[in-house]
Amino acid sequence: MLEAQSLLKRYQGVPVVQSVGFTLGPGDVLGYLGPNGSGKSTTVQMVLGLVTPDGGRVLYRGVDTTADPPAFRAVVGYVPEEAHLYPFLSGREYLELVGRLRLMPEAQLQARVGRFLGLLDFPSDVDVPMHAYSKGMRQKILIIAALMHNPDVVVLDEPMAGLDAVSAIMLRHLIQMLAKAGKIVFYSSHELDAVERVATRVLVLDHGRIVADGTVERLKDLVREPSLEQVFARLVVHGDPAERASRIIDAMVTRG
Amino acid sequence: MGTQGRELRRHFLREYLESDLVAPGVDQHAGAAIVLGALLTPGILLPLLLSFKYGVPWWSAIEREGASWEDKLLFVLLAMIASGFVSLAAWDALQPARRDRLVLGPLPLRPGVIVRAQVASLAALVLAVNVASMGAGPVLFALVMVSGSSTATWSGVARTMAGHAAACLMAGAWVFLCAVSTNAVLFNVLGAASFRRAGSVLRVIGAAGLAGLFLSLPLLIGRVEALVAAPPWWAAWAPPLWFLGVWEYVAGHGDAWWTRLAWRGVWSTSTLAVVALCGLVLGYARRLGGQNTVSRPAAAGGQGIRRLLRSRVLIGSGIGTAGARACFAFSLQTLTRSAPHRLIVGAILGAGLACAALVLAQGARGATAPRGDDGPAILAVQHILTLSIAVGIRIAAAFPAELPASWVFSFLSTGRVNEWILGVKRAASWAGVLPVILLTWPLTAVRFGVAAATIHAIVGFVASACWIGVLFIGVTKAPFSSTLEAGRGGPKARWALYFVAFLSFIYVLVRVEAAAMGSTSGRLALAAGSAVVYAAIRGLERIMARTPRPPRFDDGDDWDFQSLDLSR
Repeated sequence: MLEAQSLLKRYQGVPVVQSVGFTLGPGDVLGYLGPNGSGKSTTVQMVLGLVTPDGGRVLYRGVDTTADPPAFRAVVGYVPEEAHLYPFLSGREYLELVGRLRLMPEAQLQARVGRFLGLLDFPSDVDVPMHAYSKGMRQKILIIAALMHNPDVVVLDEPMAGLDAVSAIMLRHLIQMLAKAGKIVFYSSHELDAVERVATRVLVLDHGRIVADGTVERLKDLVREPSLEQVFARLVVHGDPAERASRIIDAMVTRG
Repeated sequence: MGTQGRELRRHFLREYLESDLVAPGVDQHAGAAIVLGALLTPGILLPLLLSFKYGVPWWSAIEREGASWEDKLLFVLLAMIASGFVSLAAWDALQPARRDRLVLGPLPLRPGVIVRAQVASLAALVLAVNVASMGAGPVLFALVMVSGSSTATWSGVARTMAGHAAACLMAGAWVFLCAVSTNAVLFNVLGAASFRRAGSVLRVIGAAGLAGLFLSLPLLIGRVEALVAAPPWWAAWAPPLWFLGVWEYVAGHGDAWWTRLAWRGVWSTSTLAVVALCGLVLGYARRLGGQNTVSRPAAAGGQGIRRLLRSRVLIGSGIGTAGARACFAFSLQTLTRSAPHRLIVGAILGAGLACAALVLAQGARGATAPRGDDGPAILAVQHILTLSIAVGIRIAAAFPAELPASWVFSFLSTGRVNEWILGVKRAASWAGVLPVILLTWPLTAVRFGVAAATIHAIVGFVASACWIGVLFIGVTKAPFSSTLEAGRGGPKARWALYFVAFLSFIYVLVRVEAAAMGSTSGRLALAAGSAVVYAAIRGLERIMARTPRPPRFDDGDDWDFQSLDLSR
């Protein structure tokens, strides 16, 4: 079980995440939604122990994750929002570095790296430095790095960014398969359609606070909207988006 | 060190060799070979040059010993300077970088493993640089020292080699530990945001100091024999002499004074090691423990610059076209906010400061002679410094501000690179030359009076416009946006000609100025001449800025995806 209890984070006195809590068991996929700046990535970083909460705690199997952060991180796979990579390493070298730092046996590491690269349709130039990779290729490398040690908890922060349509469909299936295999999946995204398809539970965040928590069907019933996108719009979109788009066009063409 | 530590140490070492400013895909072996060559050369060349000095058979052992101090000090100082430059270059790596924290943070690593790996990799780097800069020095120098001696023994030669190696390694380690300690103390005391700002300033000062020290070497080592003969009180507190003491002590020549200095060196190095280690551990614990994990962008400094750039007076004062104004603003922002660019300008300015100090010292010596005059030397200081800052900015403009952003220049090119160059020239004049002139004005005012100093400042500004113009002749490379390719930007023969031409120009100019300063008519003639020359330069620049000339981007064959990131 992965449990977050009343997480609170302030930056320069301003709360960016307040009273966020959830409990996830094996097989759960939590869709974590919210507009830009709502506190999604800060929550992800608090769950991973990369940011120390100002209040609340994260428990894994009933143990506070701050008691032994490396032990917790050993069972977590994380795909970050931004592809922070070492551009001078090739994709294979990066995966080998991550695998060795995760203390994977060398033979297993080499076998899994080769297999993953093949499964994700990597071209033959996987051995060139990553500065030459497209955004999608980098994202695939991050996904492999997050999964190759067979983690129990998978934290995905905008994993679809840069992926082509085929890879995105494959990733959606992969998330469902991971859940079926008993993994806990924390899936933070703006892709409402994808979340609607894969999440067993949805948590919507606005201005650092939870504004909705439940299954997709329950949220649709509560708000009486036919799709998650419309539920989301009702809950967190302030003002008319069409009106705002019209103002942007005005700003583009207005002189002075 | 376990598997994780070994892997991390190897990774960090590789990371030091990587630079975001070097063109992706460029073979870094060429650059590494140039650096290695530069490091190895003094260790091999110096003993060979010194063999002429020590091949004197009638020198007694004591005479030979006394004559060797200046050469030993030279080796020690070279080790300190090499280590200093490496420490400054690796300054950011002394604390966990944001990228490292983001990549390594989610991995099951204990902070201690990362700290140890980082310290070990840095120590390995510094050791490698020190060993390379010593090269074959200990062996060759020991052999050279005994080359003309009839009383030398093999054990004595071996001890001299050991003394040489110990002194140079300890001197290099001392400088490195100074940098680590300063870095760690600043980080722990100031916090992450202020540390970045203070660190930037310190690095520029450090680069200037090291460049100055390098150029002052002839002056310093020439005085060591007199210093040892009658040591003043401060000699016991001069770190280079501590390591000279280590050399003498290990080589078995140490009397009580050398022994005392040697132990001072040992204690000082040990204390620094403790401070550095404690500071690093504390700093890492704070960063990796989450207290400073989210780095908010440092409050973007340069409020003054922002106001300056928005000032209608400045924009209206003839920066030129929109392209020139854009490049003027971009040059100012890059020079003030980019650490590598500040370092380059700082190092060249440091070299200029050392030159100015030498000229002043020479002038002061000349003033004691009959009919001697230190006036030209004082006048030359401003010109040397403005020249050095102009050269620094010229070199800095060849370094990309941020490689992946270079496409902006390519995309927005109007086909007139001269416009952009004009903006850089204006930035060099206003942000580089003008502050130097204002800072040196009091020196001239004290010696020649306010009116003469003001005229000298005007002449200096016009002269700097001349050499800024010369420095940018034929430049078609987009400023601050082309990649670097190791080996392509190496020293060129024409630089020596430029150097001689600039020095000759300064020499003639200060002689003319010194002659004209004596009378009102002379000063007025100088001011009028300056105004005419400046108007001519500005006119020429405006014509050139309008001339179509497409910019050049040295970005190799894979420019398409480097610049726009679209092709794959």
